[in-house]
Formats: sequence, structure tokens, C-alpha cells
Amino acid sequence: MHGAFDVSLEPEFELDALRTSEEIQRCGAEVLKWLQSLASSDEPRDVDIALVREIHYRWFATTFPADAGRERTQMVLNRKGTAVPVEAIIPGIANACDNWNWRREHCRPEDPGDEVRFIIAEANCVTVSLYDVHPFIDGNTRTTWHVRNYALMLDGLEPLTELSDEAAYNAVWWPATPLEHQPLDDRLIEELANHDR
Amino acid sequence: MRDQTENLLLLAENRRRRMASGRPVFDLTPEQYERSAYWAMRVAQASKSQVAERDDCAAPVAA
Repeated sequence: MHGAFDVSLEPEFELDALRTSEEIQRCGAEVLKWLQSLASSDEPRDVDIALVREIHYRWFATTFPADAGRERTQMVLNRKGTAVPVEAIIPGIANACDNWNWRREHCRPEDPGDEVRFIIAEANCVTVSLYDVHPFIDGNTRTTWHVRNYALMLDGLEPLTELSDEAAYNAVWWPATPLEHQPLDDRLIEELANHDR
Repeated sequence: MRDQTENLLLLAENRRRRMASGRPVFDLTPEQYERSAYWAMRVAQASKSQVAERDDCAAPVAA
């Protein structure tokens, strides 16, 4: 996944970065298809550590099978400098998921417009929280991208499938924190509304 | 907070339609699955580029 890591790349993809990238992207599309079927099912999966692991596993099972679905066992430096120590990974994931589940159950507004904003804000909150924990040696952005898509779909919003303004998205995604993510919420509302027109 | 009233009303109305049967129903195309994965990869790549540019990386970098 990245040259700095001692990761085990599936032999058929060795020395072929483009093919590896294409395979990961293919898997990412399949992950979203799977999550959509879960969200629409009679008994959707909970947002919990098992789901987070499985999303990561499905992204990377064919390219990096040794690391797919497994939390990291060493400290890393992520762009935001938020990665937690190894022993804090599982509590961090559990806390993020528990908070999302509790607020979804107890804090939902009644007004339909307010409810949409709430769904988007909470989806961003759990996404940023999980990203900041940085559970995996690599693939955290991609995993949490689909965690958010699942959270959106569970509550009837379409997943994020297009960025009309990549620079604007990156400008609010990277500074977002679990407590301060309103600019990211606004950006996501605009992106989702663009697709819903 | 930016005024998003129009966008929120639009999203709420479409959400109401998707949830009419009690559980969400989506009509996503194969291209939409692919585009979502593509954008996830793009954002991830941006994180790697930024970290790699830093010269104070004592630990492995991750995206």
C-alpha cells in the first residue's frame, strides 16, 4: 500500500502499481455495492468494529491480504498527526461507533430538513473520528469513506459518488475534527444535493 | 452556518421517497459505484502526497 511499510503485496500485483491501483478501485466499487445491499436489507448491520474491519478487508483482500481487515501493530504518522497508539485503536473505534449509534437513537430532530443535516453531520463525525484513530497501517481514508457512505444510506441518503469540487472538499476534509466538522457538513450537503437534482 | 435550506429540502424530499417502503431503496448505477471508489482513492492519494512531502517523518506514513 505504501513503500514505507513492511506490507505483503499479493504476488500477482508485485511491481505493477497501476494494476494494483485498478484492482483496489474495483474492490472499492464492490464494497459500496455490498454496503448498499446491507443498508436496504431487513436487518442492516450495525456500525461497529466488525463492520469497519470488514470494509477494510473487502477493499484490500485481493491486493494486501496479510493486512486486510487487521488493525496496525505499529505507530504511524498520518497527515493530520492524529493516529493513536496501538493499544488505543480498538477503544477508539468502539467509542466512535458507540457515539454514532447513541446519537442516532436519541438526538434525531423531527423537522425533515434538520434531520438531513443531522444525518450528514453524524456521518461525518463517525468518519472523522475513525480516520483520526487511524486503525489500519494504510487504507484508512478509503475505509472511512465507505463507513460514511453506509451511514448515509442507512438513513436514506445516497452515498457520495462524485466530487464536483475536489479542492473544496479537501480544504474541509483535512481540518475536520470529531467536534468541528461543520464546513465538511456544508460541503457534503452541497455535493449530495448536486447529485439529487 | 451556511443557509442550506434549499439543498436540505431537496435532500429531505428525495429521502422521503427512498424511505417510502420503510427501508431505503437506491437506484445506483455501476458507474456510481466506480466513481465513489475512484474519489476515495483520489482523496487517499492526496493524504499520502502531503505526508511524503514532510521531512519530519520518524514513523511510517499512512493514508
